[in-house]
Parts: sequence; structure tokens; C-alpha cells
Amino acid sequence: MAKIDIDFFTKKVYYKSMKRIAGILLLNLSLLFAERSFDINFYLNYETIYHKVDDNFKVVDSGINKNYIYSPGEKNEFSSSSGYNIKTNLSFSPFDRFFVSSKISFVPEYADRFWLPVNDSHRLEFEGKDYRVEATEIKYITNVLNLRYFKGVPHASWRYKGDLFNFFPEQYETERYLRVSGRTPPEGYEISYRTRYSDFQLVYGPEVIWGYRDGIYCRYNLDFGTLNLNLFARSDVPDYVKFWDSDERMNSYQMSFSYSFSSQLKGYLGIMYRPFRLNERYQYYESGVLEEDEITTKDAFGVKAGFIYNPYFIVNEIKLNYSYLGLVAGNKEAIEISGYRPISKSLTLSGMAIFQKPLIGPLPLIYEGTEDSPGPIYSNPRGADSPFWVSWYYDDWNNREANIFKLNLLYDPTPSTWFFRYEPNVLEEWNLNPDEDAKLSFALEYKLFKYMSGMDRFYYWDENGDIVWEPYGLTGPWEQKNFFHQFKIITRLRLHRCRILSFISLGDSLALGSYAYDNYSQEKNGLVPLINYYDFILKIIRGRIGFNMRYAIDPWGPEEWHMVFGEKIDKIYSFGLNYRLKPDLNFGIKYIRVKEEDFVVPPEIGSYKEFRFYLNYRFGLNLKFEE
Amino acid sequence: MKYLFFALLILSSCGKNIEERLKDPANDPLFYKGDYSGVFMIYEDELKTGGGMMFYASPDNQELDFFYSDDGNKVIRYYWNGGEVFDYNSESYQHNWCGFGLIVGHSWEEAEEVSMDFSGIGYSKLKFKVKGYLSQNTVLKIEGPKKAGSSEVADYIELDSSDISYSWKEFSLPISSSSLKDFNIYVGIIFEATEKGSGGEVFIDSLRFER
Repeated sequence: MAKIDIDFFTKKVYYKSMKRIAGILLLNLSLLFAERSFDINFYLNYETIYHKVDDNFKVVDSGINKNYIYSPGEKNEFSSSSGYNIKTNLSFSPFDRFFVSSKISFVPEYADRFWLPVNDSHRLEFEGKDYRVEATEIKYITNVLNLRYFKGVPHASWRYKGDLFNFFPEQYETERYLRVSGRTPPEGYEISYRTRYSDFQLVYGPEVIWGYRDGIYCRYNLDFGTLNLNLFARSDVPDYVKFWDSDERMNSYQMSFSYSFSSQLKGYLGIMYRPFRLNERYQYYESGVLEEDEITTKDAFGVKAGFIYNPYFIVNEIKLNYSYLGLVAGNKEAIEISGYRPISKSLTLSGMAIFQKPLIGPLPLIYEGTEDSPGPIYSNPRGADSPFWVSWYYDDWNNREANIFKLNLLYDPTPSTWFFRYEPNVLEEWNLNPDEDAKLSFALEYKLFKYMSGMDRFYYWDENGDIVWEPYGLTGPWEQKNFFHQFKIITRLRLHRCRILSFISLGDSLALGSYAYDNYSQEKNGLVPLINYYDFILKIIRGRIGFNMRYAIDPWGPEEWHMVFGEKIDKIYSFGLNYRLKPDLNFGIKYIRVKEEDFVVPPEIGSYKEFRFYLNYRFGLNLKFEE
Repeated sequence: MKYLFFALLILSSCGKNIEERLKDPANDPLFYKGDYSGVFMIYEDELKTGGGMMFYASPDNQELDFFYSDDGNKVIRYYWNGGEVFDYNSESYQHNWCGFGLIVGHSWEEAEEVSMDFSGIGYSKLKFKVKGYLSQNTVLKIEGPKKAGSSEVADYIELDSSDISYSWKEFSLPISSSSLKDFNIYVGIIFEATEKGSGGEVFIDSLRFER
């Protein structure tokens, strides 16, 4: 160790004690371990929040969530609270190919908020904890062998490794998993070994996929040039399945091939086997009568086949995919067609159609007796004990009978810098490539969909990150009478030094769960099964100044379970202004107005105003050790 | 392009009534089966009433689990350690009784509002399986259907420590047709103690009305 280069991000340090502790810690650790580099950054986030619930409403705490109750005559005043947290990013590389990084969050003081009250700072305060290790990664990487421990670190799927049945789905939303559950998935260990013709990866751990415990995921890919052979195995304990036997797991196996017939045509075939709850009896509904049958081995198999053809005539690419999944392998038959063609150098049109239906439909809610003299429930949608389900939204059982059409138009005059970052034609802000350099670019999506069957009971994650199944006696989401529409457009504009991003979405959206379709819940809790929403977001960045605003009519509440329950907000207005005083110091203000126009409001959606003043300051050390 | 945009805008915003856009399964002629099976399973593996439950007194010193796993079979587990619970009627803590009811409504707030009328179906008995233990001076009282908040005495059966053990035993309680008219509570399950004791632990399964 010949030279130590210490670089302070800022010379003016306000938090002397913090810096002193960090400095001592760093120097000691670095002398012990770090032979190559050692970085530590502290992010101090301070905020003061002023808020006021509208008159005639009362807010009550419900764990770390908030509930709003109509309370005639209730007068409310503005109240304020302040809080701060410190986030620490630590990384070091003690020797060649070995890397360690960790993120720790300290929350000495939490500022009470109405917007998104379910968050990890609030959870830590509620549980009386001071800090959380949000993420850790320890890895040893060589050209052929990788060893890794990860916790709270996103990972990609194996889709591009031939995984046709989504055995290993991507886990990108680590912040959301932490925020709504207080847990830090994905967490586990990874071993991968690569040779010239083969690729092996084993991942296992307590929660490699959010909501799937004690998982083991393995793949082996063989590359023979035009032919690829892929083997996969998956074994885990999904939270949504009620396992009464502690040894029971959900195991799945998959073999897939892909073969390039020519440079224009590639075909693929996959077979999966999931021997889940074999020999177990199940009910199904046919011609007004409940029948019974038993899960057999053939119900555990699934097949998927398709091809990708690039004719460069009429369309550039067309993709056809057919799947048949036995009852416990997914209970689904589906055809998916997609394709794209450039209209001009800058414009690309793409489309997709999905036709899917379950092999055995949901159990409907049926009562004995007559409308005038109803008896007990005769048939009820399947619950957590069933070996299979009809559902939607989550990948595992997305098999509700549906016809879905999607049309996308992309205008990007500089295709060398992609418009999208990760997935093509996914119009979400996280998926936008920040390096897009076109003066004007936009992406448009029009979606038509019709769900033509009911559903079994739905499960959802609650505010503690636990799975909850809907209770007995609910109908499930209703069948659509006609097609519904959704429309989205994202526009990006560069004007001189201004970067402008606008996001417009509007259309129909159905509540995911059954409560929203239940008359009692609608009347008592103001839940709705269907919204027709408009949402407009604008963001402008010019030099050090950032501005953002949102105006929305009738969107779902911000949490996933709001959409499950059918909790709609009547109107949202929000404005934010941010100023970056120095590269490491910025402050701003954010105002949000959530407005409910009825007195029967969904329990978690209140009517309030909230101001948030914040300041973020980063300081740290970067040590480089040179030979 | 702009015409397409406006067409989509109009199409996307066509807000009709929900009834015009979704099929309410309750309007399906098959929503009611027509006949009656003669058995109403109230609990088997899970609560099958479509309603909820409510504690009759405060839930202190009690444990209630509707998904207790008994060798892979789910049963109701109800435990009382004999400690004090708050009686909302006398507004005092006492250790003489505690219990809960399986109600027609979703929660205690509508316990008196929502009722059911099974008087025309002809159920004549409440049957159930029970096991567990009861301490000295403690009995388990199982009540048949009744109106919430009513002073009328429901049909009931009382079991003491000699009646139940850790082996399943089935009991049958005759219920009157009149009790099945506009009732709010399907079943009440109550511990009663003549003097302070250590309560009991009971497991209940296959709770049903039968003709």
C-alpha cells in the first residue's frame, strides 16, 4: 500500500461527530481489509411535514397505516412533524475479484405523513428499531466461477436463458418489497459456473423471490450452436399456498429446447412438470352441479411451443406462442401473437394479442334455495387449500379467460440510444432509459381487454407483507360485458437546457379483488369495482431546478392493495420543486392534495393536504489504495 | 395521428354505469340452486358462513384460531386461561365466562343488523365434533342460532370435563324451528366457570346444521 488518496465529497462538514466516527471506523477497517478500495457515503435526509385532514374527517392510526373516518362536525387544523434518516452505502474490495457492499438505514426520527404512511422508516419507528440493513452483497467473481451472497439486491429473470415457464422471475422492486413488508428480499446465495458450451447457476436462500420461502432454483444451459438445451428446477414454499404439512413444498422441473432453422426462423419447445398435490381431490362446476375429480400425473405437465420468424416483409418479426398447462402446472391454455414493423426510420409499430382460458374454470358462488328463500352456500370460489386456481395479476395463476390486444407506437429518432431501459414497450417511468438523447421522442400504448370469466378467491399482500386470502362468501371479480380500454403516452422533450417528461394515462381499470364487487363493501367502505381514470404527470428539469406535478381524476390509491380492494381517490393534485444547491446538497418542497368528494370514503383514502419540506445532503469518503 | 389520438381518448373515457359494463353473477339464474341439501356446513377447514365472528366479552386471556392444524386437518381452537375478561353488559372485569359467536354479519358492528332465515329449510339439529380439556368448575356451552342482543335463551348444550377428552367426540344439539327465523348468530361457543379456574382448551370441527 504505497499511497492513500482521501477524497472528501465536500469540504464543509456540518456533522462533525458523524464524520469523526465514520473516519475512525473507515481507517481501521481499511487497514484491516481493504487492499484496493473502500467507499462510504452517508445520505442525510431531513424533512418537515405539515398536513391537515379535511373537516368532517378524522384520521386514526392503524399499525403503520392510517384510516380515515367520516366524522360530521370534526374540525381539523394543520399539524407538523419533523424527522430525519441517514442512509449509509458502504463498499470495499479487499482483494482482486472480491467485492463487498452494504446499505444501512438509520432512522432516529420519523416525520409522520399521510401520503404513503406504510414505509420502512415508519415501520422501524413503530417496532422501536433504530436501523435496518437494507441490502448487502458479497461476491467473488472470476471468468468461470461466481460466488455471491445477496440481500435486498435486484436480480433479472432467466427468461433469456430459455426459461419458458418463468421459474425464476425478475425481482426489481426491492424498495417496494422493503417498504411494504419490512423484509429485504431477494435474499440468498448464488453459485454459477460457466464453460464455453455450458452455463450452470444455483440460487438458494430464505426468500430469493418475494413471497416464496426457502427456495432452490437451478438451471443448466447447453449451447450447441443452432441448438440450445436448457434444464431448470425450482423448489420453494409459496406464501399463498397453505401448507399444513411442514415438509410439503412446490417443486417444478423444466426442459426446453430452441433451434435455429435459419437466420430468419427460430423455434422453441418447453415441457414442465409440477407434481403439486397429486392424488388430491378437487371440485369443479359443470351444468349447475358440483362434480369431483382427482389430480393425476398428467395434470402436472405443461407444454409451451412457439417460433420467432423474421420475414422482413410486411412485418419485421412475428412471434407465435402456444401454451397448455395442466391443472396444477398452471391450469391454462393460451395463444400469444406479437410482432413489429418499422413505419419509418424513427417510428416503430408493434402489436400483441393474447387469448387465454383456464382448463377448468373457477368455482362460482352459488347458494342453495331460491332468491326469496336463500339457503347456505352451495359452491364457493376455491381458496388456499386448492391444488389449482383461476386468477389473474400474479404470474403463477394468470389464467382467467381473457382476450387482450395491445398496440404500441414508438417514435425515437435516435434508436442507438434506446427509449426503454429494460423491457421493450413497458411504459413505466422505471423503464425509461436516462441516456435517451433525442430532442423529441414518445411511446404510445393502446390496450383493449376483456375478461370473460369469473375467478377463484384472490390473495394479496397486506401492509405487513403477509399473504391474505379472501374469505368465504364473495363472488370474485365479475365478468366483463364488453371490451375495456387503456391508453398511455410518454413524451420526452429536450429544449435547450430543459428536459421535459410527460406521462398521460387514461382508461378503465378493474379492481383486483372480490371485496370491491361486494355490495356490502361498496356501501359501507366506498369501494368500487371499476374506475375510469385520467392521470397526468409532468416533470421538468432545468439545470439545478426540478419541477414536477401530477393531476389525476379517479385513480386507484398508491398501494397495490388499494387496487385489490377497489380503493379509489377522487382527485389528486401535487406539485414539487427541487433545487440543487451543490452536487451533494439539495432541498425542495412537495405539496399533495388528496380529495374525496363523497363522505363514504375507502378506509385508507382520506381527504387531506400535505406539505413536505426536505433537504438531502451527501457526504463520504472514497479511499483508493494503489500499488 | 392526431385523429387516432382523439379517437382513443374518447374511447378510453366512455364511462358507462358499472351495471352496463360488468355482469353481476347474482343476476344469473343459476346463482340460486333451487333446492336444499339438508346440511349447512358452518365450519369445516374454514368458516363457511360468509359471515364473521365476534367476541361476546373482551378477547383478553383467550386464543382463537380458525385455522389450527390438527394433523393436517384445520379446526377451530379456542383457549381460555381462566383469567379476567371485560363484560360489556355489566361493564366490569369478571372470570365467570367468555365466548364468541359466529355471526351472519361481517363484524360486530352489524351483528344485530344482518339476519338469516332458515326456518323453511327444516334444519333440526346442530352437530359438531369437539375435543380438548376443561378445568374443574368450567363448562363449555354451545348455543344454537339466536338473535343478537336478545334476552331469549337459545337452544344449548353444556359439556363438562367428563364429556370431553383429547379424542374427537361428536355431539348433536336439537334446535327449534323458531330459532332459525331471522337469527343473527349461527352458533355461540362459551366457557362458563362457577369459580376462578384455569379455563380450558377446546377444538371444534364439522360444525353444521342438519335436517
